[in-house]
Amino acid sequence: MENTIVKISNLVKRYGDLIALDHLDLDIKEGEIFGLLGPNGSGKTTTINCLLSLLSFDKGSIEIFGKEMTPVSYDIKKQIGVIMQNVAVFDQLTVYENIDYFCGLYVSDKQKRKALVDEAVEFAKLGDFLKFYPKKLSGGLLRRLNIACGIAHKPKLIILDEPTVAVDPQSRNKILEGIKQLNSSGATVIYTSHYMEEVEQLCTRIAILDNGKKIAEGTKDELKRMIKNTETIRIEILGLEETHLKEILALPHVYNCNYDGSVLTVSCSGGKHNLIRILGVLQEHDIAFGRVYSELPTLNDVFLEITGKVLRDKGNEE
Amino acid sequence: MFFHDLKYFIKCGLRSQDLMFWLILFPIALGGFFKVAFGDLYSQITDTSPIPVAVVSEKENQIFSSALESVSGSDDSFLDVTFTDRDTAAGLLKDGKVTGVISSGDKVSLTVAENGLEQTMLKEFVERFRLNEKVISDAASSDPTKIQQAVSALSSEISPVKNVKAINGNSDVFVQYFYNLIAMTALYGTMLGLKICVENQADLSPLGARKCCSPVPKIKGLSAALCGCFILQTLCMVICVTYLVFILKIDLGNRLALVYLASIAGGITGVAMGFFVSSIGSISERMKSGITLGVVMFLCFLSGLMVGNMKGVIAEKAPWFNKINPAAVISDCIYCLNFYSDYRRFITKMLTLAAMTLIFSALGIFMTRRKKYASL
Amino acid sequence: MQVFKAFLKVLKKELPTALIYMGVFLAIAIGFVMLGRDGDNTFEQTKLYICIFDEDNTPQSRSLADFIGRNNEIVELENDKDVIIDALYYERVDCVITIKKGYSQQLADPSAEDLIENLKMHEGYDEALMDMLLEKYVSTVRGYSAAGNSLDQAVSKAEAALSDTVEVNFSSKEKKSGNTVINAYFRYLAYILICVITTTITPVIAIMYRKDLRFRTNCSGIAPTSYTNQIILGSAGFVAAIWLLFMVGGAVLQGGLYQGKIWLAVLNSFSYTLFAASLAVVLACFSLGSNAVNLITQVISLGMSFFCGVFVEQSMLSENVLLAARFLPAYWYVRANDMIFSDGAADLSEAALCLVMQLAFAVSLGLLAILINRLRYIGGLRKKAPTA
Repeated sequence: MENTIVKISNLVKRYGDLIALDHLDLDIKEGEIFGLLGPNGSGKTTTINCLLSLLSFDKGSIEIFGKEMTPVSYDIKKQIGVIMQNVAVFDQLTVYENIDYFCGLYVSDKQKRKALVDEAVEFAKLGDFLKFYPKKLSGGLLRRLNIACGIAHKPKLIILDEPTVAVDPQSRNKILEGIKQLNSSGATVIYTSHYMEEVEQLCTRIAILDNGKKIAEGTKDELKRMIKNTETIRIEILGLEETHLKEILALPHVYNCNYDGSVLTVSCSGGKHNLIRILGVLQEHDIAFGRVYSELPTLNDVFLEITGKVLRDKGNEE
Repeated sequence: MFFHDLKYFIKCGLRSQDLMFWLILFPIALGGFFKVAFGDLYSQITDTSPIPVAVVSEKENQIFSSALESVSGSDDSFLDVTFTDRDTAAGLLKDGKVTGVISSGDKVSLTVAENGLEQTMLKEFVERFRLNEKVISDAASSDPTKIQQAVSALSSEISPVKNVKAINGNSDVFVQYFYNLIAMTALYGTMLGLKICVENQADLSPLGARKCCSPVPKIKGLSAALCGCFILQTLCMVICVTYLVFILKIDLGNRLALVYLASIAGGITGVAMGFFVSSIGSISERMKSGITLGVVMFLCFLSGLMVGNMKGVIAEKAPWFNKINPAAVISDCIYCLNFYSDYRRFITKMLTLAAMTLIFSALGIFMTRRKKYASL
Repeated sequence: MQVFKAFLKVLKKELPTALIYMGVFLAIAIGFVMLGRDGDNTFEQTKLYICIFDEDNTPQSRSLADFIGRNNEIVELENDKDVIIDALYYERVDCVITIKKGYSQQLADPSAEDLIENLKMHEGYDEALMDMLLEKYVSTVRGYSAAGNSLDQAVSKAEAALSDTVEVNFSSKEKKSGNTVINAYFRYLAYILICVITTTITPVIAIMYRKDLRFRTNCSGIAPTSYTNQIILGSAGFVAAIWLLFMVGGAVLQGGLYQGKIWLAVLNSFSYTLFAASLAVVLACFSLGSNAVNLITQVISLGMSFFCGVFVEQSMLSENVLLAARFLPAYWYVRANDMIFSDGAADLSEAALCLVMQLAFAVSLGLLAILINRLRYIGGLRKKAPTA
C-alpha cells in the first residue's frame, strides 16, 4: 500500500450560517493525480485553502506527509507547490525574475536555483518571454507563468486550483501534459476543476464535492460503476409513436426512454445486447432510422446522476 | 533568503510607478508650489522699509520739523515724507500712495484711511511727539530750570530696551511649511508599509496567499520587506531633502547631515506606521489605502502643512499631541536643528521617532504573523 | 434614460471620496469660524500678543506691565526656553518682554541701558512697534524725572500723559465688512471644487467611455449623441449638486442667506465650477488609473491654489508669479473674489471680465476634450486591436 500524503479528517468550515465544508474526509496517496471535482461553490477552493493552512476551520484535522499542517509548518510547506486559481505574480517583475523570486523562497542555493528556474522555464515553454512583464502576456502565457512559479522548486506535492480557467485549448493541453509529466517524475498532484474532460483525462482518483460534502470517491471506473447507467443509445428516427416507446421501455435492462421528435435516447443498465434488441423492435414495426450511437457513461453522467445537477463551466468560485 | 527577498522587494518597489510618483514627484511639485507662494512672503512681512507719509504744514512748527528730519531722509529710516498741501495729501491717501497724512499746526494730527500696523506705527510716532511736548510744557510750568534736563532726557539716544533675537537660525516662519513637507513625504512611507501588508497577507492579495504557502517564516519575510521599505523610503527622503536644499535653495540650517538623518528617521517611522495601520482589521486594500492616506493628511494638517500656525494652536490646546504626532515630531526635529545650538531637544525627538518605529513595527509584525484567515 | 441610470450607479461608487473631501473641508471651515482668529490678516492687527516676565517685581515694573497690557494682549507662558521659542515661532506671541532686575533703580537714569529685554523672532513692524512703545514709556518717565519729579511722581505723571492718546482721523468712514470668513471660504473653494469634481466625475466618465463598453453600446440601438447627452446630463446634475451643497454650506457658515454683492461671489464660483467640470472631462479623455487621476488632480489644484493666491493672498505674491498666474483660471476667480469682498464698491465691469476669462477657460477645455475624442476615435479605429 502506498503512503498517504494528505489526510483530511472530519473537516468542517463555516462562514457564518453557511457550511462550506461539511465533515469532509480525504486520503491522498503518493503518486496519485487526485481530482477534486465539483460545481462552483462546492468547496473545492475552500478545501485547498484549509489544506494550506491559509484558512482557519472549525473542526477536523489535516495532516500532510504524516504531520499536522499549521501556518508555521515550514518543513511541510517546503515540499508543496501551489498554483492558485488567481494569478499571483508581481507585475513589476519580469517572467524570469518572478520565477526566480518564488523559487528563491524555497531554494537558497544560487547555483541550484538557477538550474531549477531554467528547468521551469523550459517546462512552461516561456523561453521566448523571459524579459516580458506579466501585463504584456496573453492569458495562456500568464497561466503558464503562474504554474512555473509554483513548481520551479520541484515539490513533492503539487496543488493546482483550477489552473486552466480561461485558457485556450492549445495552452490547456500543454498544461495538462505538463502536469502528467510532473506526476511521472514522482510528484503527487491535487487537481481541482469543474472541467469534466480534464479530470477524466488526467486524474487517477477523483472525489466529487457538492455543498461541502464528498458525495463520491474512487477511480474513474469505480465511479462509473456506481451508477445505474452503463450504456446510452441514441437513434435518429422520424415519426415514432407512443406505443413503440412503451415497447422499448419494456425491454430488459432499459430503464429510461425518451423521444424528442427526431432522436430517441435509451438509457440502459447492464446487459449485453441492448442495441440489437432495440433495433429489433424498430425493424419489427418497419420503422426507418438514421444514425445510431452507443455511448459508455462519462463522468458527466456520473455527476448528473449523483448530484442531479448539470455541471457548468461558467464563472469563478466565491 | 533574507537578501533574496530584500532584493526583489526593492526591485518591485522601484518599478511601481504610481508609488514612486507619490513618494518622489508629488513632494517635488508641492515643494515648488510652496517656494512660489512663500518665497517672498517672509521678506515682505519683515520688510521695514520707510512708511510713506504725507506731511501738511499748516503752520511753521520748528520742533516737529526737526523731529521729522531725524526719522526720515535715508533708506533705512522710519518715514518717507512727502511735503504737500491738504488736497493733494487727501488724494494720495485715497489712492493708497501714502499710509497717513500728518498735519502739523498748533496741534499735530494724523489722518489714516484704514486700520493697520503701519498706521499704528504712525500713531505712535505722533503720540511720542505730542508726549514730549507735554512733558516739556509740564516741566516748564513746574520748574523751568529743569527744561534743559528734561529735553536731553527725552532726546536721549540711549535705548532702555535690549533687543534679543530668539534664535540664530533661519527665523523665516514659512520655512516651516518645508519642514512639514519633509514630514509629509516621510509619512507617505505609509504607502510602502501598506505594500508590505498587501503582499504578505493571504486575505489581501493572491500574492499574499502564495507567500503564506512558502516555507519562509513570516517574520523573516516581513523583516526583509520592512528593510526594503526602509531603503526605498530613505532614497525618497534623500531626493526630497536634496531637492529642497540644493534646487529650491531652502535654508534648513547649517547642520545638513543631521537634517538628512532626521528626514530618513522620519521616513522609516512613516513606513512602520503604515505597516501597523494597514495590518489592523481585514478590509480591502483600497479601503486601507484610503484610511492610511486620510490619517497621514490629518496628522500633517495638525502639524501645520496646510495652515502654518496650527502647531502653535495645538501647543496651546493640547500640547501632548505635538509630542506624539509623528508629523509634528519629524518637522520638530528639523526645526530644532535650525533653532537650537545644543542637541538636547533634537535627541529627544529622534528618540521619540525611534520608539515609534519600534512599537509600530513590532505591533505590525505581531498582528500579521502566524495567522490563519477566517475568509479569503 | 438607461445610460443616465447606469451613470448614476457608477457615480454612487465614487461618491464616498467626494463626501470625504466635502466633509473635511466644511469641518475645517467651521473650525475656523469657531476659532474666530484669521491668521492671514496680521496687517490689521494693531494689538500685539505679548508675554511679560517681571524679574524686578516692584511697583514700577508692575505699572510698566500694566501699561503694556493696556494696549496689547498679554499671553501667559511657562518660563521655559523651548516653550518661549515655540510660541514666538508659531506666532502665539509677537515678543517676550523681560523686565530685568534693577529696573526700578535705573528707570530714572537717562544713561542706563538694557532695563528691559525684548526677545523676538522676526525683525518686522510688529516687533519695532513694541520697541517704540517701551522707549516711549521709559523716555516719558525719564523726562518727568529729569524735570524734578520723584520716581513715583514721574511714573504716575507719565502714565497720565500716556493715557491721553492721539485721536486718529479716518479719511473714509467705511468700516471693513465683517465677512473675512466667508471671503476665505469662497477663496478656498477654488481648491476644493477641483478636488471634489475631478476625483469623482473623471473616473466615472472614463468608465462610461471605456473602449469595450463604448463598442458594445455603439452596437446597440442607442444613438451616440443620445449616449453623450445622457452622460452630460448626469455629470451636470452631479456638478450642480456639489456646487449647491457648497453654497448652502457657505450660507450656513455665514448664518443666513447671502446678501448684496455676495451673490456676485456665488455667480463667480459657479463659473469656476464650470471650469472645474470641463477640466474633469478633459482628464477623463486620457483614461488614466484612479491613482494617476488623484495625483494630477492634486498637482493641478494645489499648484493653481499656490500660484493664484488661494492659500496666500494675491497681494503677497511676487509680480512675476502673478504675471504667470494670469494664464490660470484660478487667478481670475480669486481676483474677482477679492474684488467682490473688498471694501469699496466692486467694479462690476472688472469682475465681469474675470468671469468671462473663467468661462473662456471652460469653453476651451471643452473644445479640447472634443478634439481629443475625435482624434482618439479615428486613431483607435486605425490601430490594430490589441490581443488579449
